[in-house]
Amino acid sequence: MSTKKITLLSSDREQFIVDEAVAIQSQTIKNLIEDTVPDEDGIPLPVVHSRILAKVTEYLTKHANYKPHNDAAKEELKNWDVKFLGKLDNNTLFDLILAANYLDIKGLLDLTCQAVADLMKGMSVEEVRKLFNIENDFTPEEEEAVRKENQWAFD
Amino acid sequence: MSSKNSMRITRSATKNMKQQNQMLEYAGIPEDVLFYEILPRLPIKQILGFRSVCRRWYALTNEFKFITNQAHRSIHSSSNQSVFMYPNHDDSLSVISFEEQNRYRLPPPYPLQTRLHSRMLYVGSCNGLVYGYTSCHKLIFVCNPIVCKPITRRTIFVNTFRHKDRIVPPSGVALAFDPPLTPNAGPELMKFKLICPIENETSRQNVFVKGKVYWFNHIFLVWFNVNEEEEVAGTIPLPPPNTTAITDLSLGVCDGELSCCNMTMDSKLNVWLRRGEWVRLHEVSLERIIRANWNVDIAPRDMKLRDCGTVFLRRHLVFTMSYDGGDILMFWMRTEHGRQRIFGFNSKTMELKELSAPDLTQSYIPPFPYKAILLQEPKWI
Repeated sequence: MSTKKITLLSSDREQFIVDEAVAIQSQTIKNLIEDTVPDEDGIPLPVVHSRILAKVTEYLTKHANYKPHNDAAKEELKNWDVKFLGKLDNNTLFDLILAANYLDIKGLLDLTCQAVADLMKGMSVEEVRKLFNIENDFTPEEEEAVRKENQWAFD
Repeated sequence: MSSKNSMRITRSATKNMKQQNQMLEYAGIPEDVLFYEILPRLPIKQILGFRSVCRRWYALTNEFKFITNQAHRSIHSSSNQSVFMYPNHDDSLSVISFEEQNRYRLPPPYPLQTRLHSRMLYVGSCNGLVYGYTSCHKLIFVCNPIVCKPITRRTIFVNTFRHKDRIVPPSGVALAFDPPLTPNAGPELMKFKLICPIENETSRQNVFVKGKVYWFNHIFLVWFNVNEEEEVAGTIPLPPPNTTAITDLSLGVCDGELSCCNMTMDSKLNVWLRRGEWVRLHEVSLERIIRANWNVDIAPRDMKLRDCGTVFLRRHLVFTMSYDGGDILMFWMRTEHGRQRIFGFNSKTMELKELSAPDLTQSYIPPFPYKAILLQEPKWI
């Protein structure tokens, strides 16, 4: 079996050389390979920094070489995903979401979005504002009214 | 998972690329990803709470696109944890699940003073809508208890159902309701129908899978196609063993397919999935559950460990309720003193957990599975 290599170029012009089978799990990269004449240095991915692209290729390599056939293998892959997420800080996690969205990698987007949802679970409104740097633009009266609107449902 | 303490996030370098609109991203996460991929995964109670984060969140969470997206995820996600609902004496509804530690209570869907001493007798729920009938007037009602607001409570009432010119007892009523699958679909694409499946047959539970609603009719499953362009109704056989050996059967959805749990006389609980024909996903004996969890206080104190499965079945009423996408088999039981309890059995770890629901004992019907959605009930024709 021939393994064609693909070179990916991060926003800070760092090269990542991966198998084609690994790279084309990203729909965006697949389209870029098919539709464009490759750059001399590789396929440019201007949105993804090398720090994040390293994570993305780590995920893609694991998932390309690992086609689970039974429950035990599926379980192992799941555990690997959990470990993979465990190593990330919030900042990297958010950047990974942006990258997974841009590169159109469904598995990675699902995984990271669930991680953020788990992070938000149980958070208060104030904590969410802090997490995403959101300014509260309600007047106190309006905020009270919005809160009352839904309060009745859960006593 | 990152620590919850490190909440302050510095905006990433990518922020600068989309400076034209401040609200297009949140700490680097694109807005559409946040609203259509992340928020719909949260429990509904939290989604409603987050409407007060800021004006933009309030507007976006009230949009039809967000609401249908949340509904789609709630209904079709196989990894979802089971949520159950049961009525209280004042017609309010209690909602319980393992995932959300606290139970919550939804007020009666329409104001007391207009009820003319009639009680709402709930029958069940289908994809987020709750339905039943009123005790005095025999009116059928349909509502979404999450979205009906105190002042503009919208509950649909339908006159007693007529079928072939005969008045049909409302207890036999079932609801089929399917919100649109694509977030961009309009409200007119919602499919719903009130159906009386089998006369004089109380339908404890019906499920709606791929455009068809299914009921259990003791000897087979009846299905009804809401999309009437195709075949309208039919039956499919029950999963094995043959019907006489089954003490109970319950229906559910697993991985987007019809699933069925049954319990045989020798106290075996089976989970089946309909993939063209019935495929057994799982089998566990009640005896094993009890033995492995003797400390959980599931069995009466005077019961011996020997033969506990069958003895247990003789003394208690037990039925399976659902099979969570993962590995948890939920079952309901009623003990000698009328006490009702719900257990979740993890088939991987053999661990048994009880769902705390102290007021469940007062409920006149067993809890029914419930999916919380934000969609308004469709306009009745």
